[in-house]
Amino acid sequence: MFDENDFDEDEFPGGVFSQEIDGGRAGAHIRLGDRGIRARTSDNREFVVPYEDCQLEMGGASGRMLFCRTSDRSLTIFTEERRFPMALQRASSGGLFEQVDEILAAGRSRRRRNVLLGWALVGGLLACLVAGYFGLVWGARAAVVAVPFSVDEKIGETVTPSVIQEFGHELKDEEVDAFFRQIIDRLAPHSSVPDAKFRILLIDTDDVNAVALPGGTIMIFRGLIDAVETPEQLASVIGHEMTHVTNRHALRRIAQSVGLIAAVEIMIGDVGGIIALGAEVFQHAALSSYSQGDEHEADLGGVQVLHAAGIDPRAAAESLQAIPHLELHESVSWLVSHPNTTARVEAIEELIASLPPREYSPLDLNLEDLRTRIAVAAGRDAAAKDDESAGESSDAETE
Amino acid sequence: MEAEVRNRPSFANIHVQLNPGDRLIAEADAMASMSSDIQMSTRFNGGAVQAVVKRVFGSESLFVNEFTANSPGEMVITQPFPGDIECIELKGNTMFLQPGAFLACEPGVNLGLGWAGIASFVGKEGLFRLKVSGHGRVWFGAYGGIFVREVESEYVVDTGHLVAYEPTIGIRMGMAGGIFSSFFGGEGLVTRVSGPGRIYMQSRSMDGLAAWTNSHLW
Repeated sequence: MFDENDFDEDEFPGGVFSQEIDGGRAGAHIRLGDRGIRARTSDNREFVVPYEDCQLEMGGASGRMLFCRTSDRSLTIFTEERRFPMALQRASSGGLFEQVDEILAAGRSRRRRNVLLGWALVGGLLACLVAGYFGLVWGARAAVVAVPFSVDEKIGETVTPSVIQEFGHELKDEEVDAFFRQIIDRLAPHSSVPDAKFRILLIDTDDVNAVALPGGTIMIFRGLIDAVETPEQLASVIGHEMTHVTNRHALRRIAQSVGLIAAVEIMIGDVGGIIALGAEVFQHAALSSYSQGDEHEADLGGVQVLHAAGIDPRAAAESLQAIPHLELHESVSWLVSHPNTTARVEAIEELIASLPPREYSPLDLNLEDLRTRIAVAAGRDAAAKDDESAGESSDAETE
Repeated sequence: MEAEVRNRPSFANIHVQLNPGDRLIAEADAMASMSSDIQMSTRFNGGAVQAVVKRVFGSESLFVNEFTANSPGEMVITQPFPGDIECIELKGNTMFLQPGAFLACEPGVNLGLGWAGIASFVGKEGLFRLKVSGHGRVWFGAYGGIFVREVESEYVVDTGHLVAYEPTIGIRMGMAGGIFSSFFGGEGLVTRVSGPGRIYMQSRSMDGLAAWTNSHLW
């Protein structure tokens, strides 16, 4: 039999199948000796498969298990240790050397195939994710078409108070309303939803901003009135916001957002708030870039409305060039979320060049009068607020 | 420590007699009853990260309970569904258990998680499998009866019926017959296992029960 000197230093974890073991199998430490593969079980029993009688076979759950069997198959020593085949090749010769060579070549081939398969799976998964995302976008657009416009109006009504509260307070003045009404009356009949109930609310803040809510409510910030140079530039901003309303961009974003969240929930079930958070961040990024497409659409839609209403559409490009020179205070400012100004101006000029020629008539409105009226209304509101505060403190003192 | 599986095969449970100093590790919520002086401590099933991975991918509990006897006592371990329980003794060898099968083990047994592969996932056997190795007894449960087979060459098991197998067993997915007979004959995909090694199968499958229940709901 073998003695300890038959073994080299390498030892591999594995096991042994033999009828001599109670239960037929046991875990074993495997070593390569001078004359054979030796397995020592935990109860110190030793089993040997001589090199000249060894038959090799790959298999097992991992596909990397190497079985070393005697020719009568009464004894099998196995291991899936990666170093083992190379060590066995060094220790063997003749027919066994060739068997190991074939096993190693098959292993290399299998690894290459697995790598290719892995990359194909990753590629397929990514393709499915991208296709799923665009499917959701398309589905959201299709779903929005089927929803009546009254839903937009209801959403707009619901969110208006909270949006006003977020940005400041509304300045109410009949003369200011009349000014805006003239612009709306000129533009609205030429929008793609002529029956939409457009209205403009003036928000008392220095921010250069305009916000379109679903259904037809447009918020113009006082800072924007100060920034524009002509009533036509103001009309171009309103035309842009009207297109957001008529093209139902807000509802599209809501539908898309709900669709993405639903898809993520279906995919991950209730597992992992961290994953859901990641999906939310991705969703935000996706929607931001999507809104640039909306902005482009609104730019071009606004130009077409101006043109149809007989207002010189070049005002749209002029307003874009005029406004960036002003300081922007709010992160949600009208321009911050918008695409590159130069590209937008170029797209607008390209569209204007393709429009049929027609005569334009300027708006019969005085911007300075509007600014003066806004200042008066703002002063009146401030005074009323002071009176209210004074009244409250005097009431408190009386009590 | 002495253990006996009783009420086999339908409502099997493990009666364990613990001597002072004996310890038993059991799946969370597997204990049905125990002597009042047996101490129970709860720890992560492996490390914290490994426990989370086992929970998410292996359908195992996030925690395991370790029971220690300070004086002679007994306890009963059971599983949540009707079926048999099998005990295997590891002698330095390894065994793979399907997700959710593990019930209890002796302290010398290591609980790990192994990648089962896409084929296993397609065969509804899970992407990962519980890997038990070391020395000591392991108890695992199944839905229905458990039957054992020594596989030398190739053997076919319907999906959802494989409960445990040795790492020497090769697994690949395949159709039961041709395309028509596989899908219209109700067998669909099957697991083709190849030896040498031992496999444990369950006589019922949870998927089969779910499908049968669904078909009677409407």
